[in-house]
Amino acid sequence: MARVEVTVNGAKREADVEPRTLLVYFLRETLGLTGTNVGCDTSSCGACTVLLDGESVKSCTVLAVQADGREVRTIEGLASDGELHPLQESFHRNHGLQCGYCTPGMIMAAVSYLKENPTPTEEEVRESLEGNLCRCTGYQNIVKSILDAAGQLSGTKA
Amino acid sequence: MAKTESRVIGTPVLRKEDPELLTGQAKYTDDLTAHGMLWMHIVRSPYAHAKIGGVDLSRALSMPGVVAAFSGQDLAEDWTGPLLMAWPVTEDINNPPHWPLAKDKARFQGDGVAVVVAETRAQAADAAEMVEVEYEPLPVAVDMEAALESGP
Repeated sequence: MARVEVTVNGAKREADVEPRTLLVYFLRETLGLTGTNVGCDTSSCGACTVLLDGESVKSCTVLAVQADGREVRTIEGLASDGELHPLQESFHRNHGLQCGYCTPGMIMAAVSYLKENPTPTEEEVRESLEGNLCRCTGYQNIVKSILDAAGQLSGTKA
Repeated sequence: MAKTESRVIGTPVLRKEDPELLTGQAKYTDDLTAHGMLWMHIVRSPYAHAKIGGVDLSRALSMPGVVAAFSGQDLAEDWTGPLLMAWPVTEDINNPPHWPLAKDKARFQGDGVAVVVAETRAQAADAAEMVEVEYEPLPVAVDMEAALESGP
């Protein structure tokens, strides 16, 4: 067993895990944070995307021990004081989700991307989502949601 | 005729289920846990098309935490019929039988051939690696035109 200490959504969490435990199962099974979903287990779909030290990673491709001493943010930690994050708001407003399974991954990927590029074009948003698959929406409203949130966040909303 | 108010029809409505889905609070099947719950791992065919010979589960069954293991052949007797096609779009649609596990032949890469049930996810995955399956690879169709040709 290996001891890991990870700051998850602002709170320090410690646990003994098997060295092969994937970050996503540490979050879901050890900590009970089931908002991060497992879609494919093969790094293809991006449903398990979380932020590791602020940058988006597919948590099915990261070992829990690699997160030791670092900060993880999941979908559960995005809203603050009951206020939805602008991306959560805009997904709601623009019908950016149906079944919602890919949504936590989409939103976490977008949080990271908009930090990198606060005023993206539609094409750039589509490119930024190449690692996240959705089987419901056809992506149109996801892209719309992210562009809408980008406008809100950067204060350049037309 | 009285004027009908169309408050809903033609008007976008914000979904009531969104807040749970957007904050990670929604519960999917994968999120459910129960006391004494077991984990099942599926052994899948590495071949796109192959005849399945013997399936040897004995080493898997001797692994720690393993509760049961079955091949498609083991379970076939208990199946009353193939899985239903949820939406047969046309009456003449081609609907070959889909079984929960392959019995005699794997028909795509990843076709389930056997299952192992254990007390933990890791134990089930470890034991599944110990399942020995005899495959006899068969010809494959890798493009649509070849797939349209009649089979053997």
